[in-house]
Amino acid sequence: MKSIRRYLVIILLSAITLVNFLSAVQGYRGGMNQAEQTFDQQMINVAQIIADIDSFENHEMPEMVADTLAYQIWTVDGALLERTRNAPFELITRLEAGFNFANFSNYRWRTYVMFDEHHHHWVLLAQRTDIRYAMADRIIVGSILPIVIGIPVAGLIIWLLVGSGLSPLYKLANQLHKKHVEDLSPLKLDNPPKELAQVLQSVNQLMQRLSDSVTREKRFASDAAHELRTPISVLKIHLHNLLHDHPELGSQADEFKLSLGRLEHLVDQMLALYRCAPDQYIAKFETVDLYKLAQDVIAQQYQSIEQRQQSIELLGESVEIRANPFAIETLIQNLLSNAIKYSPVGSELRIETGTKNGRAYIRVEDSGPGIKEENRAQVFERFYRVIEDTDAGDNRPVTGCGLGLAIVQNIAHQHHARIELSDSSYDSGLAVTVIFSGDYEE
Amino acid sequence: MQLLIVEDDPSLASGLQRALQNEGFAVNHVGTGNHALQVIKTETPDIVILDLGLPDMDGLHVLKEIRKLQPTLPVLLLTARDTLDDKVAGLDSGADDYLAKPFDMPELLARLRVLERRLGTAQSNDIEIAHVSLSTTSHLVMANGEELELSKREYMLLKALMENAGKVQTRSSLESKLYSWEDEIASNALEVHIHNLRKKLGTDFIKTVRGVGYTVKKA
Repeated sequence: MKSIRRYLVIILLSAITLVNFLSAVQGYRGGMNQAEQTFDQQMINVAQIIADIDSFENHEMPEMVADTLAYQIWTVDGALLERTRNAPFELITRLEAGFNFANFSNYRWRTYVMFDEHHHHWVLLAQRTDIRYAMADRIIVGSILPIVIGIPVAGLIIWLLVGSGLSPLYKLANQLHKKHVEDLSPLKLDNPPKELAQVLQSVNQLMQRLSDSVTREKRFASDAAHELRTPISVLKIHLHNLLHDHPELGSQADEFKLSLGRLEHLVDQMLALYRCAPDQYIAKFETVDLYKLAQDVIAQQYQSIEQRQQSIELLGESVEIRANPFAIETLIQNLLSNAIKYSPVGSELRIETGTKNGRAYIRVEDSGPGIKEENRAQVFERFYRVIEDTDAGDNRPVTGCGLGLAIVQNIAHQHHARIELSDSSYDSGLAVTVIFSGDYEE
Repeated sequence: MQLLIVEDDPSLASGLQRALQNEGFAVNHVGTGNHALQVIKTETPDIVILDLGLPDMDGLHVLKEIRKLQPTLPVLLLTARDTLDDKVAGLDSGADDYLAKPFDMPELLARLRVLERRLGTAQSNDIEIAHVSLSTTSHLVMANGEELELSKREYMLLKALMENAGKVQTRSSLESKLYSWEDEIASNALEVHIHNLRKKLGTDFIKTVRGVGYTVKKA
């Protein structure tokens, strides 16, 4: 993946290196010229000094100078008056005032020729070019080396600075990353830089619009479901009165009752699915005992269990989680009512609560047909029904609206819980385990 | 038994009125909270069935006003809202019971019977299930026509189970009915009482729902 930080560091470092290199080359050239001029000036001075020496009798050139410097003094009529030991007996260069180059004694030399008006002779001074270059090199390298060494240091500093410059971006990315799928609250960034302020504003506007439309959708579904409750009550009560007045309608009214029951169930389930926005859910988190809630739900639904002559047991122990109690109650209600519906008449059901690996769980097991491995992912989709939806006991089609497990998943999701589907410990049947991770924020 | 229905939906109100009249109640109906308060002031009913969604004022407010006028008048709330918070708010405001729409008529009648029994004005205060009958006025329990000797707590326990026949009573709800806060409860006290009741009533009358509580089958 491309990283802005790495890109910036590489590009900035390259630019700095290139500029440094160019200026170093320029500096080297300039430095060389400067050094040349300085050396030449030195030679003029030295030549002047040599010229000013009145007598060369018994005079020895110091060894060191003799090595890198050489000179000859020629009379106007062409006689070698004086020379250093490293200078040959012949003329080292043409007798022409000024600078030049010459080769002798296995080296290349820079020469300076000067006519001494006072003594009337030529002073020929030579300096070894390699020495000049070496000295110039040392001076120039001494000034360029820190630049070269500075590049990695500059790289490190750039890395850190770019990092701190990009930190609002990191913060933003982090917030987005941590955001819950259904959390549409605006992003917050203290003193966002100008470049990000626009992004932040646009994202937050988008979030707001999305949140509004989700809220509208939920409110619509919820309002519609609420509004349906009174007419359903009206239908039920009038049906009750009708049957009271005309008891002979009995069996004909059963279909009516059944449909009314389905309608009522659908409305309930729609409400459960759209009940609250997640932020409202989380705001209502409190300590909830899964075991006690399971007891309550079994007590609520015991009449349906009794009707189907099923027996139920609740195993395990008290286990407390932070949750929305109403939501968890709805979750258990849905799991248990599925278990009752899909298990045959006279069969067994079981709910178990406890902790495993430090995580609270609740498991509901039934003796129904179970769900085939390949269908297990789909059952959570809204309005999905297992095709061969008949219970094992009486081949009566199981009535339901296909929202139960979608609701369960929705609630589990909001509590950062995981759902596992497996085979129950009975001869056949499904076991649904909801495992709470306990790492949700409050 | 005089009932007052406070319900703004005319069709639901008329249906309810018919159904309750069929059950032998005398039923009046009003459509607004103000009207309800007037009626309660002038001609106090025995039980009020109050819908929370009224056009003129909030149902919970009506309930509070009723409580000011008649602190003991039984009020049963009806509402299209059914979240836990709504229930808690309703009961906190002094409702005696709470029923979410859409409700089943038998359920409403059962709740009314409990309120009626509490008033002590019911025509029959006997609950009869299978071979057992319990009189809530004389606190007399008969099994197969013979009178049984029950301790006060055994009687309370049996009454709680029989009043809610067909439903499971959780251990904690039974315990809270039997003991006040100050009483210390031995961990097996409930089991001991149930054991004693079974000895007197037969083992099948009270059924254990493992891990949950106890139940008495509906007749």
